Amino acid sequence: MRYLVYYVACAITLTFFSPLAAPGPKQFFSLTVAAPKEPIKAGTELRLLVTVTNTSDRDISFITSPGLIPEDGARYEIDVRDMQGSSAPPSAYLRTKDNRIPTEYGSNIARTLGPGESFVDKVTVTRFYDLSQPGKYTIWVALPTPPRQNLGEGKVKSNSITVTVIQ
Amino acid sequence: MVAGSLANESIGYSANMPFWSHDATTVPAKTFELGSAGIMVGKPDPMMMPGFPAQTTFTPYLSLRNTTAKPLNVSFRLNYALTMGGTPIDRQLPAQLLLPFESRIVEFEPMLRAAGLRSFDGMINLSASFTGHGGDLLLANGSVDQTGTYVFPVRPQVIGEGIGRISGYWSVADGNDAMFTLWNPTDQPQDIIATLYYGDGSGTYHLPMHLAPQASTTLDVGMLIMEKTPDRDGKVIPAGIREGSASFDTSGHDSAAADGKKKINLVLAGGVFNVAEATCGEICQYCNGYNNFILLPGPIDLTVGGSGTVVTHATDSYGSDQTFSGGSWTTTNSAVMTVNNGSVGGVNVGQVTLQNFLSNVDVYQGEFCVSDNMNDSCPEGNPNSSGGGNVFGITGVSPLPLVIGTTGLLTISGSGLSGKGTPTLNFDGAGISAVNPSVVNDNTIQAGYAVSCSAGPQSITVSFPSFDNVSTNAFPLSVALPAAPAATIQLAGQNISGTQSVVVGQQIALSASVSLPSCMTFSSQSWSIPPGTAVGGYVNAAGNGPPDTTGGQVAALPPTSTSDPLPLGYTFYWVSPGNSLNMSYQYTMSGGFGSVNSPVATAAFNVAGPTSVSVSVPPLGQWEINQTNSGFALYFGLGISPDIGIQFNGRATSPSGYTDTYWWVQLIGSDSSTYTAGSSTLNCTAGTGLDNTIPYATGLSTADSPSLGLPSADSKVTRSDSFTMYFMWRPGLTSDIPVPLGYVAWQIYGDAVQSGGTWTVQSDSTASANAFQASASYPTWTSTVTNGGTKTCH
Repeated sequence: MRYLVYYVACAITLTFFSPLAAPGPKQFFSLTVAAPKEPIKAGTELRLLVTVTNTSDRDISFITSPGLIPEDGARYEIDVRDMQGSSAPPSAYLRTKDNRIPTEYGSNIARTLGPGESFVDKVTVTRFYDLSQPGKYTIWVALPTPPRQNLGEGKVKSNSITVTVIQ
Repeated sequence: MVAGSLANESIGYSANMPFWSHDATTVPAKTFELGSAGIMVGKPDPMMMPGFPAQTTFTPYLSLRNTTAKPLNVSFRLNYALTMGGTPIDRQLPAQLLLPFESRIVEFEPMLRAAGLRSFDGMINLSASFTGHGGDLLLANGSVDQTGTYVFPVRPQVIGEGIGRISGYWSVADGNDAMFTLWNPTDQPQDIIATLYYGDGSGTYHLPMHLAPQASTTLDVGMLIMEKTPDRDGKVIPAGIREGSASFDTSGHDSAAADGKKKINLVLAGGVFNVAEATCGEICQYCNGYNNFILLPGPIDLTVGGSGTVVTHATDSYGSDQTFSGGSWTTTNSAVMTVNNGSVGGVNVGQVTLQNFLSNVDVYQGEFCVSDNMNDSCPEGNPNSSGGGNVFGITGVSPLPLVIGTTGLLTISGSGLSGKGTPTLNFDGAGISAVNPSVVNDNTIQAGYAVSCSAGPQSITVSFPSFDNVSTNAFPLSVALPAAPAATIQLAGQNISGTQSVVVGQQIALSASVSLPSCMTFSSQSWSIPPGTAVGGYVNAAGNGPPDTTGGQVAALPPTSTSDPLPLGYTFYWVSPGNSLNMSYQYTMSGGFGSVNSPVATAAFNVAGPTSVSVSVPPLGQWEINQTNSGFALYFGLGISPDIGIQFNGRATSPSGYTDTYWWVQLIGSDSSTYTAGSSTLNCTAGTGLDNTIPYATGLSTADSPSLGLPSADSKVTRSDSFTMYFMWRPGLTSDIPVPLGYVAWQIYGDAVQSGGTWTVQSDSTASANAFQASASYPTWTSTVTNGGTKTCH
């Protein structure tokens, strides 16, 4: 039996998935990205905290990586655009990785949120995008609807934030 | 007292009646020799005794009485010289045998004629001897003229030794004259000094006299005055001196005698006569002797090791001080003071009584007339003179030992410490000082003291600057290092006592609190090794923080000892529970001249931890192919209940009062995957180590559903892994660490094959889990495997 797993592989696929970012018929959970309080220097990591909140009246289980606040950027669709609306260039990691070897690998656990409950994921944006150029970037993330819970298909998009990269 | 006399008032005749005390003791009989000197015979010498009527002739008389109930044989010896200063002649006279209680008048004339002295004019000496006891014989003799007008009684006296005689009153006034007759009854020459004391106390007159053996001489006071005879000092008796007293003492020396005086044996007779008035009287005599025997100085003060001399003193009959040598000396405690013939030596501090027993010393027994009492001889005695002896010094000091770095009141105990003025305390070493010394009493001196850090053992003496700066013995002062106080063990900065209740994973930050005495510093400290299972911490690769993706390792227990001068703390964590686990601390402090070990301080701990620990693993899930956003992946279970690869359900009972913070930490022991496309196979590994992060998860349960992406171009993909999932507990305290409770080892092998775009799980795919193993072993790693991380392929 095959199940659809919303496993985001890389930023390149984000561009591919971006037309699908529209919310489904009903949104069972929300994503909130906390914006950095200060500009970041070019070349430093941009690590965002994404709060996933069950906004439904039922339990929802999410597949995540292990850890209290797991690094789970690969499970998200990440959209990064500069001031001109162009997508930020891919990171060196993506540019140089051996595409022969899939990145899908590792341990998986489920986090079950009751109604109103939340958990936090870490999303390291700079793992997927090159933000070495100073400027302002608009960022949002989206998480596919978890499978096998009669939640339908689609994904939930977060708020957009603006990050300033300085030299 | 009894006295008596004879008198015939019609013719003016009188004579003394002699009494003699009778010795009624049972002492053995001895020979007594009674001597009578200067019995006049024939015509008196007109030069010496002018004024007698012509034809006056004196005849001796002799009366005897046996006072005993037995016959008494009395022998007589006559002594005379034919001329004044001539050779003495001794002749034996016929003995008289007296019947019991017989009284007899012995006719002297026949005996003189028999001796050839028919026409002898002069003086004779007579001795009578008998064997018996004193008083057995009463004897009276003297001379009387043919008319019975002039009677010159001569009282016999026992011939015996003495240092001299004191004669009573003499007078040359109003026609009187005083005359003394001295007879040496021995066969040895004797030297005598005759001393005339002037009646008005204005002076004395000393006339040396030499008596050859058996010789006699006469001293006429009136003639001395008249002829102005100089004495040994060239002085003459002033003409105005008409009366006085006299003494006759030895002038010879005898180094063997206690008083240094050679004893004399002298028969002495004296009388005051007045020819014109036909009166005469005997001059009473007294024995010279000593009394008031004492030892001087008394008491004598010596230091320990000191020496001195004690001399026996007595007062003679003239009131003069006389020293004595020799004797038998004793001390009541020779361990305190020794004595040897008056030389004393201080041995130890204390007091003694010194005594000197003298033998055969003439003792003064009051004024008595030798003649009247007819005593046996001048009395001798064995006087015992005594005096005190003090060996002053220190016998003790308190407190001892003196402790370096301390001050206080020093009490010095001893003897003879008072009466010598303000003391000075002297130390022969450095580091001890004293202030305000004062004498409390003869046995105690007190002073304030201070002992510096550099003080060592030494001695103390006490000197008395105002008392010839005499100094006591040196008393050793021991100096000690201060006792090391017991340390108080502190847990997290708080003093603890009794048994402490702690839990596994709790930081046991021990320290020791102690206030070192002055002068002392830590030279070493040590803690005991924690009993049970304990670690120094659970840290990251750098050892500077909690375990993380850089690594996880157990920190070793800290060093249990140090020579650092700062207090040594000791921080560790118990991993396993246990009761009555003791930790002890001891230090060594040094200073001054050494070091001191402290008592061992101990703290007891009861260490609690989760109990009834177990981890159960429900039946494992299935390998499956799931579609992902980028294609397909091989999953060991999807991860969402109930489709889970492996589930871990922990059980444990937490210690009371602690939050249930359970951790899961998973290590990847091995990992390999293969990707086959046609005949080409890539062998890859994601590495080993920590599975993503620590903790893997929290709570009493967790799960894992490992996955592996399936490239669309490949025909076969496999994954083989081994994992160890650790179950841990953390008490939730500040600075705590998680402690391992046990682990579950599990393994997977997945095999997927694509055919025509369809992936299928192969039947050789497996998964298994071992039983939970309780263990206190920590999960450790040096690398981390993260989801989606880079693989190494070849």
